[in-house]
Amino acid sequence: MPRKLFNFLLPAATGALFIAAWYAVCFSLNEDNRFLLPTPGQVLGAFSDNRGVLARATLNTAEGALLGFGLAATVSFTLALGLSLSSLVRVSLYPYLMILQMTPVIVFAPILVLWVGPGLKSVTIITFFICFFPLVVNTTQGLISTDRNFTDLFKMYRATKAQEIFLLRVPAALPYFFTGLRIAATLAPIGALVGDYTAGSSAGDGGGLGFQAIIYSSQAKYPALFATAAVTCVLGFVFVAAVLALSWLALHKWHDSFERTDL
Amino acid sequence: MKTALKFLAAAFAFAAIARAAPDKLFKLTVQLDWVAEPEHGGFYQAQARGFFRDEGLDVTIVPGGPNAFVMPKIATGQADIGQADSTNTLLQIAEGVPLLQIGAVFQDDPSGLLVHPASSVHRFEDLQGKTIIARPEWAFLAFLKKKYGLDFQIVPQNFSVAAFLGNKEAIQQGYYIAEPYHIVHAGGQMPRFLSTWDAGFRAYAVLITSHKFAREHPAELRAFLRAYIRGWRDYLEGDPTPAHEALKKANPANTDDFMAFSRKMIIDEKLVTGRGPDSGPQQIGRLDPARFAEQIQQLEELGILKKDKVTVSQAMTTEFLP
Amino acid sequence: MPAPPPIVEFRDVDKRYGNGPPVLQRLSFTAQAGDFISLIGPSGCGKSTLLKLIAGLSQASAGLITVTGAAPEIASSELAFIFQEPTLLPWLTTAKNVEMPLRLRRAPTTKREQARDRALALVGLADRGRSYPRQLSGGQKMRVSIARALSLSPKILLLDEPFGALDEMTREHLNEELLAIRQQQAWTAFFVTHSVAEAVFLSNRLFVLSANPGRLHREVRIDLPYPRTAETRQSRDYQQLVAETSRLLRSVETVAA
Repeated sequence: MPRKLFNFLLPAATGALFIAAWYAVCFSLNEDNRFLLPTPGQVLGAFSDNRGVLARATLNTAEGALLGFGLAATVSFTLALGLSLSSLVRVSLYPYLMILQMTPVIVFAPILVLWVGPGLKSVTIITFFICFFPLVVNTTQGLISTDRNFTDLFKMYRATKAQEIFLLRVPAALPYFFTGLRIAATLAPIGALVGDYTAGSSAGDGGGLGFQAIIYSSQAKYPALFATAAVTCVLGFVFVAAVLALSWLALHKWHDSFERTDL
Repeated sequence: MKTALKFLAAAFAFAAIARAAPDKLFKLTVQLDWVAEPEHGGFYQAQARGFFRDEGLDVTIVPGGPNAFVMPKIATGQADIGQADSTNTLLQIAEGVPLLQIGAVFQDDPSGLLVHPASSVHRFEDLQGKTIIARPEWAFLAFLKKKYGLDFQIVPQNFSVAAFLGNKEAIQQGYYIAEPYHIVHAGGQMPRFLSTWDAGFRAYAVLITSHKFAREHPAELRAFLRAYIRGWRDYLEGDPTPAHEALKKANPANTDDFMAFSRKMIIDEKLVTGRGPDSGPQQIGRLDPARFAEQIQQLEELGILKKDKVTVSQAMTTEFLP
Repeated sequence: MPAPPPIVEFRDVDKRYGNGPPVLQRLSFTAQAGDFISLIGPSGCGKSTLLKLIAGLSQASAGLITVTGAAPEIASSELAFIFQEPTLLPWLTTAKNVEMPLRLRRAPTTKREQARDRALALVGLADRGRSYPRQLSGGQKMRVSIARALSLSPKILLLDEPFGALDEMTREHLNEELLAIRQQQAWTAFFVTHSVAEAVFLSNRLFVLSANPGRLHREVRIDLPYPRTAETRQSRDYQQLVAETSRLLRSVETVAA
């Protein structure tokens, strides 16, 4: 059997088995408890019935996630540059960054809603904070741990500080930055979702997937809830895939992490 | 000697019976839909006055809060009886959740929209384009949108009065017998109230249980309802102090002042005894199938409920009421 | 005719780190333009430190150092340093790596590109300009490193065991190439190595250093004629010099031990 066919059939078979098992579990439940687990058919039906609402909600959540993510990437890179330049600044600020990183952002959500109002702004800010710290920490690490040989080389050639930063430290830190980006990409949809849960609003069509999840849950519309969860997974997946692609574009020509191997 | 032995025997027998009695009580959990307040007066009076015990029941009352999850808990057997809103329960039953409405708490659910006296909102039509602070899943909102052809923004809320006080044009979901007191107490003016029944939306506040529990413990349910109704009557007509003391313990935020206000509202608005022509103590706990039929039809017409998803007999029963 | 001024001069130079023992002590020598000076000696004799002092990367604790008549920091624009690691920036192509020093100096584009192409041609890698360091072999990477150093047309080349990580065949080959380039570009070289054979092959002067403290123990003059090729290695004079120098080195090492 040709290898490509084999590589496709095997996961497909596993998937089919999984679906069959799902149906089996559903039908093994007694009538009273059937509401706890919708069948794949019911979930698909809910997809179809609610596709307008789900589509809008997905766009809203994606918008919040993208904005928060983009903001986090820009701000964290700038901050990381600043932190890498001065050990004084670094030592002064790092402990607070650590503390902020460990505080669950959800705690601040109601305060944010008070200050900024519910909706996209709050969701973006919450997403920002969730993505921000891994990015800052990773990028700063990358910027300060440039190989000694390289910095000596640049010193030899009398490079100015600006040259050292932009021609040496920043490119050398890119793999670290992208590691941070990959982490942030998995967090951004979660951040937007959590933000939605606590600070989302349904202004017109303003609600996101988290908001929808609450509504479906409290209305006991469980097939729709499962459908929402599935869409959220796909959103997260797309997000991470996009960042991985970006990562590849920037690094594949020269970085070891893209060494071609026979996987 | 013989008399002494008889006396001893009697004493042992008495002790044995006395010790046996507690073991015979049936344990039952009640899940409230909110923190303990006078709206739960029936439960607390019945418990404090021993009415549950008289019926052979050992009842644990579990207060709720902003996220009470009453219906999932009942449906999965984590609690036996719960308090809920009849419309939301209808919608959940339509989704296949195995619940049953077995008795009334309030003949009319005192939910509605609170506005400041100076607010520009006077009728439901005035809600067009406004922002309402409410629970997004509240069926009444969908009802309003469909019935009056409105569109408005919904902001999720947790029933704190702070948001309401901060904005003169605020419109917030509230319970007629509680929020107005808190607002005035916090320094605001007595708010105006757009009630659900004014919009033609007649929901009950109900007691619910699961199909399983109803199948397996019909006698206990009957006993419970007897004691509960007795508790409400005693609370409203007699001395509410036993319930109020228990309420204070369950929720220290219950001041005597607040509880008096709430109880008075319940009595004045005839929430428990009924606001219709046949109002009176005999109405306590009663459910009217006709009203359920009417609301099901109403919701189906408005497209909030899918047609033929739920029938009256699936949604409620009067078989446990005395 | 008076002798031309030395291109590098050390006068009684001491170097110590903090309050530790001297890494280099009372070091004095002069180098003429065009010299190829190898530095050999046991570990800890300060060979690499010596290079760094010439480069201005490190400061003398005592004594005087002049490079092209000025202090090392000022003269450093006339120098190029080649490390043991090729130290190529992995995110740049070979060509971009080679032109980096000129870029840092903000040389105009045409001048930069010409120098780059010339340097790549010198090391025989003109056709590998578009490759990334990851695609090159160890020997090729070293050659790019050399090309980069040469792109500035330096007066002085400092090489710190540049071929130490390569196999012997590649090493000998690169030695020959280095000398070939030297035919076309006249620079002075200071070359640190552990290989006596390499030192004798490349240089006209060989400094044997002792350790603890680092001192110039003996200078050996290598009078073999340039240009030197693979054949030179077969000559008796060469092999004799290698043997003598090895003995010398061993005697210095045993003293140190």
